[in-house]
This record gives sequence, structure tokens and C-alpha cells, in this order.
Amino acid sequence: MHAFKIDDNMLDALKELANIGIGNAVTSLSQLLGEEKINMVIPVATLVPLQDAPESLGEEEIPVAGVYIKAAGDVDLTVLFVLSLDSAANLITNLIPGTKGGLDQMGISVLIEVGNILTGSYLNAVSLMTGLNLLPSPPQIAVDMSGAIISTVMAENQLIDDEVVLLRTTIRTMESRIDGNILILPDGGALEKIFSILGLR
Amino acid sequence: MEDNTIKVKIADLAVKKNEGVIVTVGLGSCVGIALYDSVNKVGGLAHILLADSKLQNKNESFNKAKFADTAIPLLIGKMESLGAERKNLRAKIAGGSQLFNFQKKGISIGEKILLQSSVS
Repeated sequence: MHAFKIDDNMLDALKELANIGIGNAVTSLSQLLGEEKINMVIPVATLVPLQDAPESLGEEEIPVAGVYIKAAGDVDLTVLFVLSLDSAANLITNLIPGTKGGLDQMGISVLIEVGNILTGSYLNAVSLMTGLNLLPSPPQIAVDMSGAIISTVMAENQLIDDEVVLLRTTIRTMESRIDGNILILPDGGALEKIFSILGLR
Repeated sequence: MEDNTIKVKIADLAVKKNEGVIVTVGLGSCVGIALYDSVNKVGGLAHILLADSKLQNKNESFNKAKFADTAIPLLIGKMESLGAERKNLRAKIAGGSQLFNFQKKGISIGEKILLQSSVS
């Protein structure tokens, strides 16, 4: 359990924060892709039981590529950029024309860099809005079942709460057929700080 | 999935006597610990997220299946109540992978869980 009750107002505020932050991140992605149009679903902020979190990106046994960035500084946040393997290949071939989009060293490096740019823009926006100092760690990538990636992130962050706050959005590029998910996991301490800055606590 | 299949989620455990399947997916750095008493036909499976329940505030009730040091005694206890005997138990362990290549000191979360899992 969290040290305090998270109400709908708080979830709304998180959703708005994510909306602006991820909006910025998606703009960066669009610039990378040569101003391609990207549809972004309005982020959802939910409080889910820890046990259901691995299913939050749908079928947990589907192999995906996940770029994981942990931001520290004033608060701890985890950002996960998850792509289906098809979308990962499309993203790679789009950015390095002539390649097959395989997950070789170059492909992996492309995904990491895109994750880095997306997360950087997101953190920048959140930092500007809240005044919090956020320092991203170097991105890490894993290709595994989506459930395994989410559980690993929860274990790495030593999430002891029985409910986790998840901010999630889906993006879809119009031409290059890239479907991606952005998942943000703030830790309990981060939420407390963010809510007090926003005057909700 | 068949009716006889129990799915164990993350930070969860299940036991079963006689016929049936207990399954868990997406371990990642979590550790799955399966115990089986082939004499009394009792099996159990735990999907453990974290190593040590000291992380948890002890004053509150908490999910014992989440931590290695509390999940295994709980798993064995539940199996014993179905008729399993400790001397027959055989364990198989999976998971504990290091999905992300962190440049950090010390042991991985998977190794931590395994270290905490040893029960006498």
C-alpha cells in the first residue's frame, strides 16, 4: 500500500503531466522520422494491482523490444518504451535506410537512441512543469516477453507496494507503421513529491 | 487453457494435489520456484519478485508471496497442508535473468532472490 491514498484527482493530474510530457516526446519522434504524422492516444493513468501490471501491455507472452530508462535526481521515475518486433524493425529501417531492420548491434543502437530521445523530451517537459531535477540514466534494452520486461523493471525498482501507478500511452506512426507503447512508473516517493508540488497534498 | 490449469501471477503462489498444471509466465528477473512431492503427488509454484521482506514495513500486512524469504515457508506450509512431506520435496528453479545490462556493483536481483531462497 502507498503511504497515502491516491484519488482520482491525483490520477488526473498525473495523466495531464504525462499528456504534455509524452506529447513532447512524440514530437521529437516525429522530427526524427522527417515530420511524419504520429497518432498518440491520450495517456491513461491507472492504479493497478502489482500482480496485473505485467499484463498492462496486453498479452504478456508476446516478444517485444523494451528500452528502459531510469531517471533519478529529485525523484525516481522509470520510463519504458516498448515496441513490437515488427515495429522495431520498421523504426530501424526508417532511420537507417538500406538495412533490414534486424536487432544487430546497429539496430539495437538505433532503438536505444530513439528511447533516449523520447525519454529525454518527456523528462524535460516534466522537469519544466514541476521544477524537479531529473537525471536520466543511460538507456538499457531487452528483447523478451512483455510480461518479463515489466516484471524485471518492477523488481529492479524494488517495488514493494501492492498497487502500482502506471502511466501508459500508445503511439502509431501513419506511414512507417510503428506502434509503440510508453509506460511510466513513478515510485511512491516520486508521487508524494509530485503531488505536493501540484498542491494536491 | 484447460480447467485444470492454475496460472500463478507475479508475486503469487499456488499449490495442487494430484492431477493438474500450475504455470507461470514472464519471469524475467523474477524467480520461479517449483516444489514437488512425487510420493504424495503435491506440487507448488511460487513466482517471486523480490528477495527480502525486510524491505516491507513489518507493521502492515503484506503479500508474503512477493518475497523469497517469506514465500518459500508459505509455499511449503500450503503443500504440507495438502499432505506433502518435506523429505520428499524436490525443487526446480527458473528465472533470475539479467534482462538489462546494468553496470552496477553487487549481485543481480535474481541472485539476491536465490540467496534468500535457501531454507533449512
